[in-house]
Amino acid sequence: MAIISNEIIQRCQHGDRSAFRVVVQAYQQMVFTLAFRLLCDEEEAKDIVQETLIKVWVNFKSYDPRQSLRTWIYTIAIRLCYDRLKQRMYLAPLPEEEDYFVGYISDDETDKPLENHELLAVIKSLVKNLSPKQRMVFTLTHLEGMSSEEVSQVTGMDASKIKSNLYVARKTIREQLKLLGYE
Amino acid sequence: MNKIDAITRRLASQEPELKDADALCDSIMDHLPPQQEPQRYRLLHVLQAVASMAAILLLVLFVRQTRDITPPREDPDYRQSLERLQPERPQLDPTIPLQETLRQLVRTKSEQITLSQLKKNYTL
Repeated sequence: MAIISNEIIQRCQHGDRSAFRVVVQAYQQMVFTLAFRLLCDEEEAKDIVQETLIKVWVNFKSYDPRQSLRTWIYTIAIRLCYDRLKQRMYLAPLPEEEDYFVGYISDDETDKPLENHELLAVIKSLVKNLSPKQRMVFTLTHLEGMSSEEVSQVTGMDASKIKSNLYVARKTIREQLKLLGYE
Repeated sequence: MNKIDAITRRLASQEPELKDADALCDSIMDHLPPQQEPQRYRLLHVLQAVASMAAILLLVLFVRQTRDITPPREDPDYRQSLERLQPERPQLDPTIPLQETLRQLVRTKSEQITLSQLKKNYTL
């Protein structure tokens, strides 16, 4: 990911659209990956990219350059994803997605790149029994590789809530894997 | 490493591919609305608007109060002021008989007053 210079940030804060294009190009993949993993839907993830970056542009004058731009964009994207997760109905994985998931977890050695639909099938089956909050904490910690402090910063949740949600999420997934004959 | 960590480690190393990234970027750039002022400036604008509204409201109340010249009849202050405006009518002393009073009143020619006038001007 490209590092955005202070000059680009200042130009964005003064309404320079060409400077903002640099920001969009630098962060759209990051936001897409996050939304894809959280929402398990490619088209919705693209919507989130658009909504997030438009919100970033609209509020750029309020952005404090002492804060990390990446964290600020992350925070906006996570809130939008979380709102969608709360709103939408439970989305169960399809039988073929469950089958793909079983095949994926039984083969620990392979690191072959997955297509988007394969990746979706695995994530969707893995987090299917989690609440929106547990899903968010689990995804940020395990898939996005964030520390507890970073999760707290971008979600606004305190450390104890993050810990308890993560504990329940891991327990739920462990039970699911046990049913499949693993763990 | 347990199973969950093994699965998540592999998943974390795989990023989904954003297809048509350039088209998405163009679409975002085409739909950019005007930027908003920072929150502190917005708050200042709100305060200014509230102050203007309050000033207008005070002005309207002041104008209404100065134009309102018909106070309610039930108002005790209004009643008292009305009584003060009416001419005072001398009261007769009830201890003195009426004939004596009349006599005193018509003692001189210039002071002659008919009984009907007396009744009219005095509260009996």
